[in-house]
Amino acid sequence: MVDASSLDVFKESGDWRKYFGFSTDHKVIGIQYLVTSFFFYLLGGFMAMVIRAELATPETNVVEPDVYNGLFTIHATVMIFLWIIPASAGFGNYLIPLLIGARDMAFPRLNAISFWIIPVGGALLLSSYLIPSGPAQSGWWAYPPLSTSATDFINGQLLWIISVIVLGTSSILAAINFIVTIWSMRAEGMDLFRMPIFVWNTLVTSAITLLSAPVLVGALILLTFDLSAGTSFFNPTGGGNPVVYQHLFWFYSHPAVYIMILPAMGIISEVLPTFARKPLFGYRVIALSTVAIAVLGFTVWAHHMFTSGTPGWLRMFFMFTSMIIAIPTGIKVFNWLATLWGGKILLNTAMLFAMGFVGMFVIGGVTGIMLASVPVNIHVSNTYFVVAHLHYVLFGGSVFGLYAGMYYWFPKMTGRLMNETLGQIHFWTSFIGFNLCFFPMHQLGLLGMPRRVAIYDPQFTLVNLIVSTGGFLLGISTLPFIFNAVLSWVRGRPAGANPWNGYSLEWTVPSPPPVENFVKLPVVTSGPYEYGREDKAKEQTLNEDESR
Amino acid sequence: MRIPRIPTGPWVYGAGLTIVLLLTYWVGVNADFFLPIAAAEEAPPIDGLFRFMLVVGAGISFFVIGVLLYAALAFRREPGETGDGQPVEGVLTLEVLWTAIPTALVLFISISSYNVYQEISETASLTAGHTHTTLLSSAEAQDDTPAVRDAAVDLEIQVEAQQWAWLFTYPGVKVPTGELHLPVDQEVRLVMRSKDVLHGFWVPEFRLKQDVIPGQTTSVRFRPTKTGTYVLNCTQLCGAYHGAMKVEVKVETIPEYQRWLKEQAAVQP
Repeated sequence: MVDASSLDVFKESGDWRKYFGFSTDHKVIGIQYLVTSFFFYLLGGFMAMVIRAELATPETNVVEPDVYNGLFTIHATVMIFLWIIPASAGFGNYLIPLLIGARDMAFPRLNAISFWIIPVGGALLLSSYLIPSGPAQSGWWAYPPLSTSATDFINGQLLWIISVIVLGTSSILAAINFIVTIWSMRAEGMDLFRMPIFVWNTLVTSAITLLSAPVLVGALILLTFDLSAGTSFFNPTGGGNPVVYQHLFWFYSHPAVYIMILPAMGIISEVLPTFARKPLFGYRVIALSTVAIAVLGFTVWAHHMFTSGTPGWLRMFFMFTSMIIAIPTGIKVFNWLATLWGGKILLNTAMLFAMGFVGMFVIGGVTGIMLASVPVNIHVSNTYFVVAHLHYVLFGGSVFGLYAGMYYWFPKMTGRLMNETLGQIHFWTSFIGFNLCFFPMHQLGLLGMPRRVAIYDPQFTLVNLIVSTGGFLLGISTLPFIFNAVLSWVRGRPAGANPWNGYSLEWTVPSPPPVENFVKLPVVTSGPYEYGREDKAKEQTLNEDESR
Repeated sequence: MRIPRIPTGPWVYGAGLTIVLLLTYWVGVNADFFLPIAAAEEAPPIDGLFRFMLVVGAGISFFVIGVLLYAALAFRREPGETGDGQPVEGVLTLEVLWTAIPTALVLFISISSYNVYQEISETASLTAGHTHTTLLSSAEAQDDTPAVRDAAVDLEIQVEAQQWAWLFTYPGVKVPTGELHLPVDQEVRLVMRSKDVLHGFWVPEFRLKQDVIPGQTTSVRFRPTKTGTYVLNCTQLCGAYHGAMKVEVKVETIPEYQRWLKEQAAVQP
């Protein structure tokens, strides 16, 4: 049986096969990014569930210890390089031209290449499961000398390095494209301070990527020489220094935290005003604090090395800079709260995830300040306290933000509304599973459980069992989302151009938008968050009619 | 099920703030739930800092989550309600306020952390890297400055880490041992080297951690204050059995320690 409405979708959005080909339409590429990265998210999540199954008991019983090390290495690599970063780029691709009033990205072919590199990099990473020595097992930091100790010429670590270089290249290409697009293709009247915060954050994120990712690629090339050619850049037996690698690695990988969180912050800065029916509070302050976070983000990397070979003065310096970065971050949180205050709040799924982001991110931020304090860091670094902290920031933060974005822009992308009941089930199972999984980890770390261990002290059994239960709930929580997305895409209620009564430009065009986005390029006369202002609202309606 | 919209007004804000403060107080008095016992002189100042940040952090978290919950309940749109909220785009005083308060807080935490670090550094040398490496870069260099070093500690143990074991060499004992025994209330320095990859020294009850780095010498100095058996964990991923790279740390009275040391000295290489 074919529902008549599903035929309409195909007519509207054209041939579905375009999603599997080399399209240069930013909207197709955006969806390709989102669907591909979501597939990798499920894979990384499955690995996490195997990890939690192993850790449900103190002994090793589910997988061998070396397999376990491979699992958390690939889990982290997949989640960072194949899920959060490309999913954020997916939203960027889909939305940036629409939000700034352009017909496409500046370099559409480069855009397609940036995307198609990702499945190649992902396949390369996963192919390490097919070689005899298995995947990389040195964690996603790949600290030498452990990472350079492989004996086979083709080994998991080598595949890991090549894959991360490939994925890093994709990020760099996408960053160039975003910067040029945002800088030069804004519609008439779209001043910098009229850009939606998501555009600001994508611009800043791209700048961070452009400045930091080449350093990672460089470090990994040197690591490849150590691994495969017997050089000694980082190998102490030949006069090298492993701590130098740590500096180079974290020079990228701390800013990478902002690469992962800023786009999600951008998403919720769109969602919160729309469903609170109020302008974004302190718009300029939020935009500038993003810039401040980016600049400061380059000065804090060695806080990942407080227990490494670092002298006292250096620890004090990086403690201070890491503390300072809490200020612009805190400012954003308070501005989001003020946006909600006195609003007319619609608690739909997108809004729940956006508000959940704010609450969970604050906990991650608070533990971040604790970790910045050198004496406390010396106790908790490399323990489960850090695992808890990073998941509060990257799951409670980034992933909740990405989900908020999916519920918010799904009607724009597909022309159909998602099911609200399934959405609420998805949010609450995620929220409960998330806190059950990651909150008790704080205590585990403080009491004495190191991270990256397959075997632990029996005194931690009960807490680990709670954590594993939460982990499995979190795994299951993705099912209503997948079901919802598939079902709604095929037979959801038609959304119309502007289901949320939003004011940014993407809502002025039909859902899904036509290939060229805007029939006539818009002229922007007001900001993106004009809620509660009747005069501006009228203007908006006029523009909308014109574009049809 | 629809939860009724809760009212706004000063008494609601007052009640909300009281709940936040009570919850924060409750976290504060139960802070030790999160900590193992403190068994070294260096642990209490670190714990003090942790408790302070826990209370401040819990207060901020409860406040933010409280505002979110309150907003969800008090400002929720009724079914059928249309129209927008007030178009407030920002209030300068508020921006200044919530820039100034976090700034003051992080400055205070930075200064406190600096002070605690100085305090534990006097007794627990956690410095490694350039300055320290030159001082301890080789066995010869150590012999050059015995006066400075011996004056500082009561006992210096050479530690060698390798996949997946710890070896300890005590002064006057020729054969390295796999056991770590420490005399209580004595200043101890562990001088650590790695044979292969990175490892990490961590005894949770001492609150001290230091990576062990191949090609460098790092050290950790502390004074155990409570007899008992603790566990030394490896905290840098070092291969398949990283999680099993643990050894018991026995903090003993001085006579017990000396008896054990005599037994060790009798072992022939």
